[in-house]
Amino acid sequence: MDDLTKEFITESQEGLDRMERCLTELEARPQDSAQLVGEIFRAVHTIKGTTGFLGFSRLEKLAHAGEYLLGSLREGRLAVTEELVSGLLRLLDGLRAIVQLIEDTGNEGEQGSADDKALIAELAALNEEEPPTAGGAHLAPIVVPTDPAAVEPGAGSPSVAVAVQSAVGSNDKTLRIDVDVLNRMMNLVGELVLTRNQMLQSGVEATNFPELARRLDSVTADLRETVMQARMQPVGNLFGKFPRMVRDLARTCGREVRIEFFGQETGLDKSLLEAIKDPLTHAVRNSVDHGIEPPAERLRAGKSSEGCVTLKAFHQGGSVVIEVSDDGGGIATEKVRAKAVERGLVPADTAAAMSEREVLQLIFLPGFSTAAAVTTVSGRGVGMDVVRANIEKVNGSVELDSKVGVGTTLRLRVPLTLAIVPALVVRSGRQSFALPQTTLVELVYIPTRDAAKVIERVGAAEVYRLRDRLLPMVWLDRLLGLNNATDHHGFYMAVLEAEGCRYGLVVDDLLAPEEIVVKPLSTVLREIGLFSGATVLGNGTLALILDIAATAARAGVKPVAEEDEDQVVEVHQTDEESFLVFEDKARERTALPLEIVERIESVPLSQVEYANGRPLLQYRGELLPLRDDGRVLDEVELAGGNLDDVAATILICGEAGSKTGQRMGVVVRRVLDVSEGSLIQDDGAAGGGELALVKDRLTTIFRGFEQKPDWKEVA
Amino acid sequence: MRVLIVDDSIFVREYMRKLLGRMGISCMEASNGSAALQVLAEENTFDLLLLDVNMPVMNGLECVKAIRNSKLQPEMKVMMVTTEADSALISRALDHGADEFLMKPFTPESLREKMMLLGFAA
Repeated sequence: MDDLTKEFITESQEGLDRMERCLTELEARPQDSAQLVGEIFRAVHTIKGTTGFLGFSRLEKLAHAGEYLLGSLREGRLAVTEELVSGLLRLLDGLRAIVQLIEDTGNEGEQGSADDKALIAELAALNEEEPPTAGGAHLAPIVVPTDPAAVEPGAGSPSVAVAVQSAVGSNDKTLRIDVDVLNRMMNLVGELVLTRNQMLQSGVEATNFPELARRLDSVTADLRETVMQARMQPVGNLFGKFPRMVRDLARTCGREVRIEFFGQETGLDKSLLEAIKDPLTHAVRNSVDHGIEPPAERLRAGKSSEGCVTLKAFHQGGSVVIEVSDDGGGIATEKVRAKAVERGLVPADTAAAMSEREVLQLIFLPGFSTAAAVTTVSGRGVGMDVVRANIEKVNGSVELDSKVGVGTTLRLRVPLTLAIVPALVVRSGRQSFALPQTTLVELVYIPTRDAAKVIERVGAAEVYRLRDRLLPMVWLDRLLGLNNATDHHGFYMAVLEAEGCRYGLVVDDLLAPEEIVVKPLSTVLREIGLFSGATVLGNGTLALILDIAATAARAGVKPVAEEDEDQVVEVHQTDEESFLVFEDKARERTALPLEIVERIESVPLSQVEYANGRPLLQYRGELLPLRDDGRVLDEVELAGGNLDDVAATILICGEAGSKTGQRMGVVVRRVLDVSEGSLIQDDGAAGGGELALVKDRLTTIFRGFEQKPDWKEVA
Repeated sequence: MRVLIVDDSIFVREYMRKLLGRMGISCMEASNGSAALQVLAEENTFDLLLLDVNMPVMNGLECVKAIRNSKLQPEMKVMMVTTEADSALISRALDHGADEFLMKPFTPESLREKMMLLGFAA
């Protein structure tokens, strides 16, 4: 297909998307009809004007009929009525189907088919309607009928339904990029070339080599950032399809529904946008079909007859969250419970003991459907389990919240991108493997001499008792049949969680956390079924990326059993909280809530820099302020030695712990323990600080985050 | 010879640029009337304006009016490019100083003929 035809297809599809948006807005904002009709006219006009150049006369004929009708509308000879909008929507479908056909096959299909003729005749008939009476210059009010019987049955021809289907999966090969982004990319590539030239000229021995390496590092980081940005597409592109869908669906279901959007500009990697399209569509359908009640029922419940479906997208941490909420009837947990038992998904006694939240999650089980009757909309067999499976395929997660009478919210959480992921590199049997950080819960070191004590046997399986929970252990070298490296004085266990399975993966050694570039696997390696990809590490060696869920399945780890869930719930019902206990001043035990500690780093003192006497740490392209209440830095430095050789232990603490919203580092002498503890009431003894009882010992709670670090005091 | 193509359709601009390129003519592009005025204000060196009628922001009719009411290059030729849906506007455009018009879709030959009518040897 030549460039011109491709350009024609892209432009036509964009025009049709715009037309669709304007058509649905036409019903919502009749006061803007002049502007909206103008835009719709232009979309069809452009197609009509351009298609002739390429000789697509079937498309031209249809566009011509549409343009003629729209012309009458634009000049006020026709009023916007519901029939008219429906006719224009069918025109939209017809045009889209032909454009799609051209994209798929390179030609536009049979001339003058019965469907085409019928559509053109319909458009012509609409053009002969009575002109609006005086006073109703532009708009007659539109009422969406609430009675499904009032909607003409089978209004769309069969080809139209197919057209909508195929239009959804279109056009993922080309991408429009902001010229600014492209320019920035070009500049950075220029920088890259410059740095390479300098490196080639100066050689490894040159005194400025470290500086050049640093520069290369920052240019690469910027370039990566920019390329990612180029792959980002606003989720609004996806949302654009929903007003039409909701409108049609509301009519077939006899509901009155409006749809609202927030955060349409939120960017998401193009491949992920494709991946969430179907789950999101399904969720919106569910909201209209099962969520929003029929108008009469809503009025009885004291709500407005029109329901509202809200789509909201926003960033949270390294993920994008997309929420689909409705203000419908909510999900009756009792019905869910009963159905789950009836279908044999859970035993009756277990179900009875479940909390409301747990019951809601049953909806995601395969074979569950809440529809009282099987409707044409939701169909049989496709349920929320498919939504969950699709989202988990891209390392995302799904949650459901619902309140009877108030509404339901489905929350999809997906990573920003799939191409580059943070991972922990580990070694087992002299090979490197990468574990995606999103699956990593925590790391445990087990000295060989303690192994016999802490590892217990349950039947044939070995388990580790981690804070009163039994954790199945999986030896990576045994699973893969690798040679065991012998000279252990201890080994590491990575606690991993994926698809409801939680287990400890035993490895020989931990290497650095790295941002890895995911490369697809060759068929041979893919067939092993345990790896999701491969990557080249910073030191040039290869590492396979472990598929955490598949590994669990291979090792026979079962998803967390119900009894275990109960146990967890119990733990959370007490006021126990996890703390990281450390020492900063001599012999004083201080603790931080574990959830705000992102990472424990051992940093050479040479990397700690000072500005105006305040200690700072360059950390992953961010300048972190350091809290050093115990003067540990001085202490370490005084102990002597080369600054590159002596290291300080620094807890990297996340935004969650800080009121100023900034991450910071806390310098500690050493980390003592991670343990459950409970806060005790402050009696003033700790000088305003809070106290906790951790493992029956009194511990001060670190409160360094309440205010911005006081630089003057540090200086 | 230099030509300014004004059309909101990227496809049409691309198509015209290819046709003109084959005749050895260099072009610049603008996506609507107001963008065209900006280009003309910056470099007033065009011999011919190919002007679409139906465009967002500022349409072709308003654009030709603005050009002829300004001091922008009075000797520059303006050819309106349109479909029959907007043919009613053609005579008004000619009243306001457009020199010629061309109906979409057009063949390379019809573009060449119309250009020759305006006195451009092609």
